[in-house]
Amino acid sequence: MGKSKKLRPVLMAIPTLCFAFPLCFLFVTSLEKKGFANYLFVLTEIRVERNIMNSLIVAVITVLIVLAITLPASFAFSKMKFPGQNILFLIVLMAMMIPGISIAVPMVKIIRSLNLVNNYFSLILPYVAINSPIALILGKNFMDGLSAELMEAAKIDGCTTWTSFLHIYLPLAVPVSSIISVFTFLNCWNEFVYAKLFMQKETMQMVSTIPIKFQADMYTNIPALFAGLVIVQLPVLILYLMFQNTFREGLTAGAVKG
Amino acid sequence: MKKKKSLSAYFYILPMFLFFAFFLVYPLFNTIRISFFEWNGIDPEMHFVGFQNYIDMFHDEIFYKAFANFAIYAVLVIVLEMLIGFSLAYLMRRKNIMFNIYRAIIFIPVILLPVVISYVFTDILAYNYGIVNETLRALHLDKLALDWFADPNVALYTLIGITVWSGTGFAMTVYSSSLTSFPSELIDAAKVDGANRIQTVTRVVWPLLKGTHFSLSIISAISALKIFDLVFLLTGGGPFHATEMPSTYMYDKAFTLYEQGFASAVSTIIIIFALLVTFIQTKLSAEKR
Repeated sequence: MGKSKKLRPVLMAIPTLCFAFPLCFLFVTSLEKKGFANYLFVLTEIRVERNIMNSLIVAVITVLIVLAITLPASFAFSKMKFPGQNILFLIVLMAMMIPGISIAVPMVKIIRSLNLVNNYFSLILPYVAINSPIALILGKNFMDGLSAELMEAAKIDGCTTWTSFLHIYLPLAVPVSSIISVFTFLNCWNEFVYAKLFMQKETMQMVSTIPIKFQADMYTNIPALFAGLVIVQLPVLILYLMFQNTFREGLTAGAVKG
Repeated sequence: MKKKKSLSAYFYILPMFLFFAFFLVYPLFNTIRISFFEWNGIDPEMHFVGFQNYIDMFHDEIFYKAFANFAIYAVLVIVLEMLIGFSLAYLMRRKNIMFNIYRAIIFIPVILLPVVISYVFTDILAYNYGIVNETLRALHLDKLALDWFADPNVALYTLIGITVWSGTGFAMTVYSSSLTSFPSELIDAAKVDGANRIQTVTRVVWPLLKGTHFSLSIISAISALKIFDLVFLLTGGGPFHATEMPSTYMYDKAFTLYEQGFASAVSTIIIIFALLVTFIQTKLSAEKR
Protein backbone atom coordinates (compact mmCIF):
# COMPACT_ATOMS: atom_id res chain seq x y z
CA MET A 1 0.00 0.00 0.00
CA GLY A 2 2.84 2.33 0.86
CA LYS A 3 4.45 1.87 -2.53
CA SER A 4 1.35 2.77 -4.52
CA LYS A 5 0.80 5.90 -2.49
CA LYS A 6 4.23 7.18 -3.39
CA LEU A 7 3.93 6.13 -6.99
CA ARG A 8 0.60 7.77 -7.58
CA PRO A 9 1.74 11.37 -7.90
CA VAL A 10 4.06 10.19 -10.63
CA LEU A 11 1.42 8.08 -12.35
CA MET A 12 -1.16 10.84 -12.28
CA ALA A 13 1.21 12.99 -14.27
CA ILE A 14 0.26 10.90 -17.29
CA PRO A 15 -3.41 11.88 -17.58
CA THR A 16 -2.46 15.43 -16.60
CA LEU A 17 -0.06 15.60 -19.53
CA CYS A 18 -2.78 14.37 -21.84
CA PHE A 19 -5.00 17.24 -20.77
CA ALA A 20 -2.18 19.74 -20.88
CA PHE A 21 -0.78 18.71 -24.24
CA PRO A 22 -2.97 20.76 -26.59
CA LEU A 23 -2.34 23.95 -24.64
CA CYS A 24 1.40 23.32 -24.49
CA PHE A 25 1.31 22.64 -28.20
CA LEU A 26 -0.38 25.99 -28.66
CA PHE A 27 2.34 27.85 -26.79
CA VAL A 28 5.21 26.00 -28.40
CA THR A 29 3.88 26.40 -31.94
CA SER A 30 3.25 30.07 -31.42
CA LEU A 31 6.98 30.50 -30.93
CA GLU A 32 8.01 28.62 -34.04
CA LYS A 33 9.91 30.22 -36.87
CA LYS A 34 10.18 33.73 -35.54
CA GLY A 35 9.72 33.32 -31.79
CA PHE A 36 8.29 36.34 -30.05
CA ALA A 37 8.29 38.28 -33.30
CA ASN A 38 5.09 36.39 -34.04
CA TYR A 39 3.44 38.08 -31.11
CA LEU A 40 4.66 41.50 -32.19
CA PHE A 41 3.39 40.79 -35.66
CA VAL A 42 -0.10 39.96 -34.40
CA LEU A 43 -0.20 42.94 -32.08
CA THR A 44 0.66 45.35 -34.87
CA GLU A 45 -1.22 43.73 -37.72
CA ILE A 46 -4.48 43.08 -35.94
CA ARG A 47 -5.57 45.46 -33.25
CA VAL A 48 -6.23 42.69 -30.73
CA GLU A 49 -6.15 45.09 -27.85
CA ARG A 50 -9.31 46.64 -29.25
CA ASN A 51 -11.07 43.29 -29.15
CA ILE A 52 -9.87 42.54 -25.66
CA MET A 53 -11.18 45.93 -24.58
CA ASN A 54 -14.58 45.23 -26.14
CA SER A 55 -14.93 41.86 -24.50
CA LEU A 56 -13.79 43.33 -21.22
CA ILE A 57 -16.30 46.16 -21.34
CA VAL A 58 -19.18 43.86 -22.18
CA ALA A 59 -18.22 41.29 -19.57
CA VAL A 60 -17.67 43.76 -16.74
CA ILE A 61 -20.86 45.72 -17.36
CA THR A 62 -22.84 42.49 -17.62
CA VAL A 63 -21.43 41.26 -14.33
CA LEU A 64 -22.30 44.52 -12.59
CA ILE A 65 -25.86 44.52 -13.87
CA VAL A 66 -26.35 40.85 -13.04
CA LEU A 67 -25.19 41.44 -9.48
CA ALA A 68 -27.34 44.53 -9.17
CA ILE A 69 -30.53 42.77 -10.20
CA THR A 70 -30.07 39.27 -8.83
CA LEU A 71 -28.82 40.03 -5.32
CA PRO A 72 -31.96 41.94 -4.31
CA ALA A 73 -34.07 39.27 -6.01
CA SER A 74 -32.18 36.49 -4.17
CA PHE A 75 -32.86 38.31 -0.94
CA ALA A 76 -36.53 38.66 -1.75
CA PHE A 77 -36.95 35.00 -2.69
CA SER A 78 -35.11 33.90 0.40
CA LYS A 79 -36.18 36.24 3.14
CA MET A 80 -39.47 37.68 2.01
CA LYS A 81 -42.85 36.23 1.29
CA PHE A 82 -44.93 37.28 -1.66
CA PRO A 83 -47.67 35.88 -3.82
CA GLY A 84 -46.54 33.75 -6.75
CA GLN A 85 -43.14 33.20 -5.23
CA ASN A 86 -42.86 29.55 -6.08
CA ILE A 87 -44.20 29.84 -9.59
CA LEU A 88 -41.87 32.69 -10.42
CA PHE A 89 -38.91 30.70 -9.13
CA LEU A 90 -39.96 27.74 -11.22
CA ILE A 91 -40.08 29.96 -14.29
CA VAL A 92 -36.52 31.02 -13.54
CA LEU A 93 -35.43 27.38 -13.29
CA MET A 94 -37.01 26.59 -16.62
CA ALA A 95 -35.39 29.59 -18.24
CA MET A 96 -32.02 28.09 -17.46
CA MET A 97 -32.67 25.28 -19.89
CA ILE A 98 -33.25 27.40 -22.93
CA PRO A 99 -30.26 27.32 -25.24
CA GLY A 100 -29.29 30.83 -26.28
CA ILE A 101 -29.17 29.82 -29.87
CA SER A 102 -32.76 28.68 -30.00
CA ILE A 103 -34.01 32.21 -29.41
CA ALA A 104 -31.46 33.73 -31.75
CA VAL A 105 -33.95 34.46 -34.53
CA PRO A 106 -36.29 36.73 -32.54
CA MET A 107 -33.30 38.12 -30.65
CA VAL A 108 -31.87 39.42 -33.90
CA LYS A 109 -35.21 41.05 -34.64
CA ILE A 110 -35.33 42.69 -31.22
CA ILE A 111 -31.77 43.96 -31.32
CA ARG A 112 -32.29 45.34 -34.80
CA SER A 113 -35.51 47.08 -33.87
CA LEU A 114 -33.80 48.67 -30.87
CA ASN A 115 -31.05 49.83 -33.19
CA LEU A 116 -28.40 48.20 -31.11
CA VAL A 117 -26.37 46.36 -33.74
CA ASN A 118 -22.66 46.99 -33.20
CA ASN A 119 -23.48 48.45 -29.81
CA TYR A 120 -22.16 46.98 -26.60
CA PHE A 121 -25.68 46.69 -25.27
CA SER A 122 -26.68 44.34 -28.07
CA LEU A 123 -24.70 41.80 -26.11
CA ILE A 124 -24.96 43.11 -22.56
CA LEU A 125 -28.75 42.96 -22.41
CA PRO A 126 -29.15 39.37 -23.64
CA TYR A 127 -26.16 38.24 -21.56
CA VAL A 128 -27.71 39.68 -18.42
CA ALA A 129 -30.95 37.86 -19.15
CA ILE A 130 -29.19 34.59 -19.88
CA ASN A 131 -26.90 34.64 -16.85
CA SER A 132 -29.43 35.84 -14.32
CA PRO A 133 -31.26 32.55 -13.70
CA ILE A 134 -28.31 30.68 -12.31
CA ALA A 135 -27.11 33.78 -10.48
CA LEU A 136 -30.49 33.94 -8.80
CA ILE A 137 -30.44 30.28 -7.83
CA LEU A 138 -26.97 30.52 -6.35
CA GLY A 139 -27.83 33.78 -4.64
CA LYS A 140 -31.01 32.43 -3.12
CA ASN A 141 -29.30 29.28 -1.85
CA PHE A 142 -26.65 31.43 -0.27
CA MET A 143 -29.16 33.75 1.34
CA ASP A 144 -31.06 30.75 2.67
CA GLY A 145 -27.94 29.98 4.61
CA LEU A 146 -27.96 33.42 6.22
CA SER A 147 -30.11 33.66 9.31
CA ALA A 148 -33.36 35.57 9.12
CA GLU A 149 -32.80 36.66 12.67
CA LEU A 150 -30.26 39.17 11.48
CA MET A 151 -33.05 41.07 9.84
CA GLU A 152 -35.28 40.78 12.88
CA ALA A 153 -32.57 42.23 15.05
CA ALA A 154 -32.01 45.00 12.56
CA LYS A 155 -35.69 45.85 12.49
CA ILE A 156 -35.76 46.16 16.22
CA ASP A 157 -33.01 48.68 15.84
CA GLY A 158 -35.16 50.60 13.44
CA CYS A 159 -34.06 49.33 10.06
CA THR A 160 -36.47 48.76 7.24
CA THR A 161 -36.32 45.61 5.15
CA TRP A 162 -34.44 47.47 2.46
CA THR A 163 -31.81 48.94 4.76
CA SER A 164 -31.28 45.61 6.48
CA PHE A 165 -30.70 44.11 3.06
CA LEU A 166 -28.32 46.88 2.09
CA HIS A 167 -26.28 47.07 5.25
CA ILE A 168 -26.38 43.54 6.60
CA TYR A 169 -27.12 40.89 4.00
CA LEU A 170 -25.38 42.48 1.07
CA PRO A 171 -21.97 42.76 2.72
CA LEU A 172 -22.34 39.14 3.80
CA ALA A 173 -23.00 38.12 0.22
CA VAL A 174 -19.45 38.74 -0.97
CA PRO A 175 -18.61 35.03 -1.40
CA VAL A 176 -21.58 34.32 -3.62
CA SER A 177 -21.01 37.58 -5.48
CA SER A 178 -17.53 36.54 -6.47
CA ILE A 179 -18.86 33.19 -7.63
CA ILE A 180 -21.56 34.86 -9.70
CA SER A 181 -19.02 37.31 -11.10
CA VAL A 182 -16.66 34.54 -12.18
CA PHE A 183 -19.03 32.46 -14.23
CA THR A 184 -20.89 35.44 -15.65
CA PHE A 185 -17.58 36.94 -16.76
CA LEU A 186 -16.47 33.67 -18.30
CA ASN A 187 -19.78 33.12 -20.08
CA CYS A 188 -19.61 36.59 -21.59
CA TRP A 189 -15.97 36.30 -22.62
CA ASN A 190 -16.46 32.92 -24.29
CA GLU A 191 -19.83 33.57 -25.86
CA PHE A 192 -19.72 33.09 -29.58
CA VAL A 193 -23.10 33.11 -31.33
CA TYR A 194 -24.50 36.49 -30.37
CA ALA A 195 -21.05 38.07 -30.56
CA LYS A 196 -20.86 36.89 -34.13
CA LEU A 197 -24.38 37.95 -35.03
CA PHE A 198 -24.46 41.40 -33.47
CA MET A 199 -20.94 42.76 -33.58
CA GLN A 200 -19.98 42.97 -37.18
CA LYS A 201 -18.07 46.20 -37.34
CA GLU A 202 -14.37 45.47 -37.16
CA THR A 203 -13.64 47.81 -34.30
CA MET A 204 -16.44 46.38 -32.22
CA GLN A 205 -15.64 42.71 -32.46
CA MET A 206 -15.28 40.48 -29.49
CA VAL A 207 -12.43 38.29 -28.47
CA SER A 208 -14.41 35.13 -29.09
CA THR A 209 -14.93 35.85 -32.77
CA ILE A 210 -11.71 37.57 -33.68
CA PRO A 211 -9.74 34.50 -34.72
CA ILE A 212 -11.99 34.33 -37.74
CA LYS A 213 -10.19 37.41 -38.92
CA PHE A 214 -6.90 35.78 -37.97
CA GLN A 215 -7.68 32.92 -40.23
CA ALA A 216 -8.28 35.12 -43.21
CA ASP A 217 -5.04 37.03 -42.77
CA MET A 218 -2.82 34.34 -41.45
CA TYR A 219 -3.99 31.11 -42.94
CA THR A 220 -0.52 30.06 -43.95
CA ASN A 221 1.19 31.52 -40.94
CA ILE A 222 0.19 29.10 -38.24
CA PRO A 223 2.68 30.30 -35.62
CA ALA A 224 1.31 33.82 -35.92
CA LEU A 225 -2.24 32.50 -35.77
CA PHE A 226 -1.40 30.61 -32.59
CA ALA A 227 0.31 33.66 -31.15
CA GLY A 228 -2.95 35.52 -31.70
CA LEU A 229 -4.87 32.76 -29.95
CA VAL A 230 -2.55 32.88 -26.98
CA ILE A 231 -3.00 36.63 -26.71
CA VAL A 232 -6.80 36.45 -26.65
CA GLN A 233 -6.82 33.54 -24.22
CA LEU A 234 -4.29 35.03 -21.87
CA PRO A 235 -6.51 37.40 -19.83
CA VAL A 236 -8.86 34.66 -18.67
CA LEU A 237 -6.01 32.23 -18.17
CA ILE A 238 -4.15 34.66 -15.95
CA LEU A 239 -7.30 35.39 -13.96
CA TYR A 240 -7.79 31.65 -13.51
CA LEU A 241 -4.26 31.05 -12.28
CA MET A 242 -4.61 33.92 -9.82
CA PHE A 243 -8.04 33.02 -8.53
CA GLN A 244 -8.11 29.28 -9.02
CA ASN A 245 -10.28 28.44 -6.10
CA THR A 246 -12.90 31.05 -6.85
CA PHE A 247 -13.01 29.90 -10.45
CA ARG A 248 -13.43 26.25 -9.70
CA GLU A 249 -15.85 26.77 -6.86
CA GLY A 250 -17.82 29.27 -8.85
CA LEU A 251 -18.19 27.17 -11.94
CA THR A 252 -19.07 23.97 -10.17
CA ALA A 253 -21.29 25.43 -7.48
CA GLY A 254 -24.73 24.03 -7.77
CA ALA A 255 -23.45 20.69 -9.03
CA VAL A 256 -21.95 19.64 -5.77
CA LYS A 257 -24.55 17.91 -3.70
CA GLY A 258 -24.61 15.03 -1.22
CA MET B 1 -41.00 35.22 13.35
CA LYS B 2 -43.80 36.19 11.10
CA LYS B 3 -43.12 36.87 7.49
CA LYS B 4 -46.03 38.92 6.39
CA LYS B 5 -46.91 38.68 2.77
CA SER B 6 -45.62 41.93 1.43
CA LEU B 7 -45.89 43.37 -1.98
CA SER B 8 -42.74 45.40 -1.58
CA ALA B 9 -40.87 42.24 -2.52
CA TYR B 10 -41.94 42.85 -6.07
CA PHE B 11 -39.64 45.86 -6.22
CA TYR B 12 -36.73 43.61 -5.39
CA ILE B 13 -37.48 41.21 -8.17
CA LEU B 14 -38.79 43.65 -10.74
CA PRO B 15 -35.52 44.61 -12.48
CA MET B 16 -34.55 41.00 -12.96
CA PHE B 17 -37.94 39.96 -14.25
CA LEU B 18 -37.97 42.91 -16.62
CA PHE B 19 -34.80 41.64 -18.25
CA PHE B 20 -36.34 38.23 -18.25
CA ALA B 21 -39.52 39.39 -19.88
CA PHE B 22 -37.84 41.32 -22.67
CA PHE B 23 -34.86 39.16 -23.44
CA LEU B 24 -35.99 35.67 -22.60
CA VAL B 25 -39.74 35.29 -22.40
CA TYR B 26 -40.61 37.57 -25.31
CA PRO B 27 -38.05 35.97 -27.68
CA LEU B 28 -39.21 32.56 -26.52
CA PHE B 29 -42.83 33.17 -27.42
CA ASN B 30 -41.76 34.86 -30.61
CA THR B 31 -39.78 31.81 -31.61
CA ILE B 32 -42.89 29.71 -31.26
CA ARG B 33 -44.97 32.28 -33.11
CA ILE B 34 -42.52 32.66 -36.01
CA SER B 35 -42.45 28.89 -36.40
CA PHE B 36 -45.92 29.11 -37.89
CA PHE B 37 -44.80 31.51 -40.60
CA GLU B 38 -42.54 31.53 -43.57
CA TRP B 39 -40.03 34.36 -43.25
CA ASN B 40 -36.62 35.24 -44.58
CA GLY B 41 -35.71 37.43 -41.67
CA ILE B 42 -35.51 40.58 -43.72
CA ASP B 43 -38.95 41.30 -45.15
CA PRO B 44 -41.26 43.23 -42.87
CA GLU B 45 -44.00 40.78 -43.75
CA MET B 46 -44.28 37.13 -42.83
CA HIS B 47 -46.35 34.57 -44.59
CA PHE B 48 -48.56 32.38 -42.41
CA VAL B 49 -48.20 28.68 -43.12
CA GLY B 50 -49.65 26.96 -40.07
CA PHE B 51 -47.93 23.68 -39.27
CA GLN B 52 -46.25 23.39 -42.65
CA ASN B 53 -42.79 24.08 -41.21
CA TYR B 54 -43.24 21.26 -38.74
CA ILE B 55 -44.48 18.90 -41.42
CA ASP B 56 -41.49 19.71 -43.62
CA MET B 57 -39.20 19.28 -40.67
CA PHE B 58 -40.52 15.86 -39.75
CA HIS B 59 -40.01 14.82 -43.37
CA ASP B 60 -36.42 16.03 -43.44
CA GLU B 61 -34.03 13.15 -42.82
CA ILE B 62 -31.33 15.56 -41.72
CA PHE B 63 -33.53 16.59 -38.81
CA TYR B 64 -33.54 13.01 -37.56
CA LYS B 65 -29.83 12.65 -38.25
CA ALA B 66 -29.15 15.73 -36.14
CA PHE B 67 -31.06 14.32 -33.19
CA ALA B 68 -29.51 10.88 -33.60
CA ASN B 69 -26.06 12.46 -33.63
CA PHE B 70 -27.03 14.46 -30.59
CA ALA B 71 -28.17 11.35 -28.71
CA ILE B 72 -24.89 9.53 -29.37
CA TYR B 73 -22.91 12.66 -28.56
CA ALA B 74 -24.74 13.45 -25.33
CA VAL B 75 -24.70 9.94 -23.92
CA LEU B 76 -21.03 9.30 -24.68
CA VAL B 77 -19.88 12.72 -23.49
CA ILE B 78 -21.80 12.53 -20.23
CA VAL B 79 -20.82 8.95 -19.45
CA LEU B 80 -17.15 9.44 -20.33
CA GLU B 81 -16.86 12.71 -18.45
CA MET B 82 -18.42 11.22 -15.35
CA LEU B 83 -16.36 8.02 -15.40
CA ILE B 84 -13.05 9.67 -16.18
CA GLY B 85 -13.80 12.62 -13.91
CA PHE B 86 -14.68 10.35 -11.02
CA SER B 87 -11.63 8.12 -11.55
CA LEU B 88 -9.31 11.11 -11.55
CA ALA B 89 -10.98 12.61 -8.50
CA TYR B 90 -10.88 9.33 -6.61
CA LEU B 91 -7.27 8.53 -7.48
CA MET B 92 -6.26 11.97 -6.33
CA ARG B 93 -8.35 12.10 -3.21
CA ARG B 94 -5.47 12.24 -0.75
CA LYS B 95 -3.81 15.48 0.21
CA ASN B 96 -0.84 16.11 -1.99
CA ILE B 97 0.58 19.25 -3.54
CA MET B 98 1.19 17.53 -6.86
CA PHE B 99 -2.46 16.54 -6.96
CA ASN B 100 -3.49 20.16 -6.48
CA ILE B 101 -1.29 21.15 -9.38
CA TYR B 102 -2.61 18.35 -11.56
CA ARG B 103 -6.20 19.23 -10.79
CA ALA B 104 -5.57 22.86 -11.60
CA ILE B 105 -4.12 21.87 -14.97
CA ILE B 106 -6.85 19.40 -15.81
CA PHE B 107 -9.47 22.08 -15.19
CA ILE B 108 -7.98 24.56 -17.64
CA PRO B 109 -9.68 23.17 -20.78
CA VAL B 110 -13.02 24.03 -19.15
CA ILE B 111 -12.35 27.75 -19.35
CA LEU B 112 -10.81 27.97 -22.82
CA LEU B 113 -12.40 29.89 -25.66
CA PRO B 114 -14.17 27.64 -28.16
CA VAL B 115 -12.26 29.32 -30.98
CA VAL B 116 -8.93 28.53 -29.35
CA ILE B 117 -9.91 24.90 -28.81
CA SER B 118 -11.10 24.51 -32.37
CA TYR B 119 -8.04 26.03 -34.04
CA VAL B 120 -5.64 24.03 -31.90
CA PHE B 121 -7.36 20.73 -32.53
CA THR B 122 -7.88 21.45 -36.21
CA ASP B 123 -4.12 21.76 -36.42
CA ILE B 124 -3.22 18.85 -34.14
CA LEU B 125 -5.60 16.48 -35.92
CA ALA B 126 -4.95 17.68 -39.45
CA TYR B 127 -4.81 14.69 -41.72
CA ASN B 128 -1.64 15.54 -43.58
CA TYR B 129 0.54 17.58 -41.31
CA GLY B 130 -1.06 17.33 -37.89
CA ILE B 131 1.22 16.17 -35.14
CA VAL B 132 -0.99 13.24 -34.16
CA ASN B 133 -0.99 11.66 -37.59
CA GLU B 134 2.66 12.48 -38.20
CA THR B 135 3.58 10.72 -34.97
CA LEU B 136 1.44 7.71 -35.81
CA ARG B 137 3.06 7.44 -39.22
CA ALA B 138 6.51 7.74 -37.71
CA LEU B 139 5.62 4.80 -35.47
CA HIS B 140 4.47 2.87 -38.56
CA LEU B 141 0.90 2.93 -37.28
CA ASP B 142 -0.34 4.48 -40.50
CA LYS B 143 -3.63 2.67 -40.28
CA LEU B 144 -4.46 4.64 -37.15
CA ALA B 145 -3.80 7.95 -38.82
CA LEU B 146 -7.45 8.60 -39.55
CA ASP B 147 -9.00 11.57 -41.24
CA TRP B 148 -10.32 12.85 -37.98
CA PHE B 149 -12.58 15.56 -39.30
CA ALA B 150 -13.32 14.63 -42.87
CA ASP B 151 -14.21 10.97 -42.45
CA PRO B 152 -17.97 10.78 -41.83
CA ASN B 153 -17.54 7.67 -39.69
CA VAL B 154 -14.96 9.27 -37.46
CA ALA B 155 -15.90 12.92 -37.22
CA LEU B 156 -18.59 12.57 -34.58
CA TYR B 157 -16.26 10.63 -32.32
CA THR B 158 -13.51 13.18 -32.82
CA LEU B 159 -15.99 15.80 -31.69
CA ILE B 160 -16.94 13.69 -28.70
CA GLY B 161 -13.28 13.23 -27.79
CA ILE B 162 -12.58 16.95 -27.91
CA THR B 163 -15.67 17.72 -25.86
CA VAL B 164 -14.68 15.16 -23.22
CA TRP B 165 -11.19 16.69 -23.12
CA SER B 166 -12.65 20.11 -22.46
CA GLY B 167 -15.31 19.00 -19.99
CA THR B 168 -13.80 16.28 -17.79
CA GLY B 169 -12.06 18.82 -15.57
CA PHE B 170 -15.48 20.04 -14.54
CA ALA B 171 -16.76 16.59 -13.57
CA MET B 172 -13.51 15.86 -11.77
CA THR B 173 -13.77 19.04 -9.72
CA VAL B 174 -17.35 18.29 -8.71
CA TYR B 175 -16.43 14.76 -7.64
CA SER B 176 -13.38 16.03 -5.77
CA SER B 177 -15.58 18.31 -3.73
CA SER B 178 -18.03 15.53 -3.00
CA LEU B 179 -15.25 13.16 -2.04
CA THR B 180 -13.71 15.54 0.47
CA SER B 181 -16.92 15.43 2.44
CA PHE B 182 -17.16 11.68 2.04
CA PRO B 183 -16.98 9.87 5.38
CA SER B 184 -13.80 7.84 5.33
CA GLU B 185 -15.12 5.57 8.05
CA LEU B 186 -17.27 3.93 5.40
CA ILE B 187 -14.23 3.09 3.34
CA ASP B 188 -12.46 1.75 6.41
CA ALA B 189 -15.50 -0.28 7.36
CA ALA B 190 -15.63 -1.80 3.92
CA LYS B 191 -11.97 -2.78 4.12
CA VAL B 192 -12.54 -4.36 7.52
CA ASP B 193 -15.34 -6.37 5.94
CA GLY B 194 -12.82 -7.69 3.46
CA ALA B 195 -13.59 -5.63 0.39
CA ASN B 196 -10.70 -5.15 -1.97
CA ARG B 197 -10.04 -1.79 -3.53
CA ILE B 198 -12.20 -2.22 -6.59
CA GLN B 199 -15.12 -3.43 -4.54
CA THR B 200 -14.76 -0.52 -2.19
CA VAL B 201 -15.03 1.90 -5.02
CA THR B 202 -17.83 0.30 -6.95
CA ARG B 203 -19.99 -0.93 -4.11
CA VAL B 204 -19.45 1.71 -1.47
CA VAL B 205 -18.17 5.01 -2.80
CA TRP B 206 -19.87 5.25 -6.19
CA PRO B 207 -23.41 4.43 -5.02
CA LEU B 208 -23.22 6.93 -2.17
CA LEU B 209 -22.46 9.75 -4.57
CA LYS B 210 -25.84 9.40 -6.24
CA GLY B 211 -26.81 12.99 -5.55
CA THR B 212 -23.69 14.20 -7.27
CA HIS B 213 -24.22 11.86 -10.22
CA PHE B 214 -27.67 13.25 -10.81
CA SER B 215 -26.85 16.93 -10.54
CA LEU B 216 -23.80 16.43 -12.72
CA SER B 217 -25.75 14.53 -15.35
CA ILE B 218 -28.47 17.16 -15.45
CA ILE B 219 -25.97 19.96 -15.80
CA SER B 220 -24.07 18.01 -18.46
CA ALA B 221 -27.28 17.29 -20.34
CA ILE B 222 -28.20 20.97 -20.38
CA SER B 223 -24.69 21.84 -21.58
CA ALA B 224 -24.92 19.21 -24.29
CA LEU B 225 -28.20 20.65 -25.50
CA LYS B 226 -26.57 24.04 -25.82
CA ILE B 227 -23.64 22.71 -27.80
CA PHE B 228 -23.05 24.84 -30.82
CA ASP B 229 -19.76 26.72 -30.72
CA LEU B 230 -17.39 23.77 -30.95
CA VAL B 231 -19.38 21.90 -33.58
CA PHE B 232 -19.84 25.00 -35.72
CA LEU B 233 -16.17 25.90 -35.56
CA LEU B 234 -14.72 22.42 -35.95
CA THR B 235 -16.90 20.87 -38.61
CA GLY B 236 -19.88 23.11 -39.31
CA GLY B 237 -22.04 20.02 -38.99
CA GLY B 238 -20.25 18.12 -41.71
CA PRO B 239 -18.89 16.15 -43.34
CA PHE B 240 -22.20 15.35 -44.97
CA HIS B 241 -24.08 16.03 -41.76
CA ALA B 242 -22.03 13.46 -39.85
CA THR B 243 -21.73 15.92 -36.99
CA GLU B 244 -24.95 17.79 -37.55
CA MET B 245 -26.54 18.79 -34.27
CA PRO B 246 -30.00 20.26 -33.75
CA SER B 247 -28.34 23.61 -33.03
CA THR B 248 -26.21 23.69 -36.19
CA TYR B 249 -29.16 22.49 -38.21
CA MET B 250 -31.20 25.39 -36.85
CA TYR B 251 -28.39 27.90 -37.39
CA ASP B 252 -27.96 26.87 -41.01
CA LYS B 253 -31.63 27.25 -41.74
CA ALA B 254 -31.80 30.61 -39.97
CA PHE B 255 -28.64 32.40 -41.01
CA THR B 256 -27.35 30.63 -44.06
CA LEU B 257 -30.57 29.82 -45.85
CA TYR B 258 -32.67 32.54 -44.24
CA GLU B 259 -35.59 30.21 -43.71
CA GLN B 260 -36.29 31.68 -40.32
CA GLY B 261 -39.79 30.31 -39.99
CA PHE B 262 -38.49 26.79 -40.46
CA ALA B 263 -35.55 27.50 -38.17
CA SER B 264 -37.94 28.68 -35.49
CA ALA B 265 -39.82 25.41 -35.74
CA VAL B 266 -36.53 23.60 -35.16
CA SER B 267 -35.82 25.88 -32.20
CA THR B 268 -39.22 25.18 -30.71
CA ILE B 269 -38.58 21.46 -30.90
CA ILE B 270 -35.15 21.94 -29.32
CA ILE B 271 -36.70 23.86 -26.45
CA ILE B 272 -39.45 21.30 -25.90
CA PHE B 273 -36.85 18.57 -26.00
CA ALA B 274 -34.69 20.42 -23.46
CA LEU B 275 -37.60 20.83 -21.07
CA LEU B 276 -38.56 17.16 -21.44
CA VAL B 277 -35.07 15.87 -20.80
CA THR B 278 -34.61 18.04 -17.73
CA PHE B 279 -38.06 17.16 -16.43
CA ILE B 280 -37.42 13.43 -16.81
CA GLN B 281 -34.02 13.62 -15.19
CA THR B 282 -35.32 15.64 -12.27
CA LYS B 283 -38.15 13.18 -11.80
CA LEU B 284 -35.70 10.25 -11.81
CA SER B 285 -33.41 11.90 -9.32
CA ALA B 286 -36.28 12.78 -7.01
CA GLU B 287 -37.64 9.25 -7.10
CA LYS B 288 -34.39 7.57 -6.26
CA ARG B 289 -33.99 9.47 -3.04
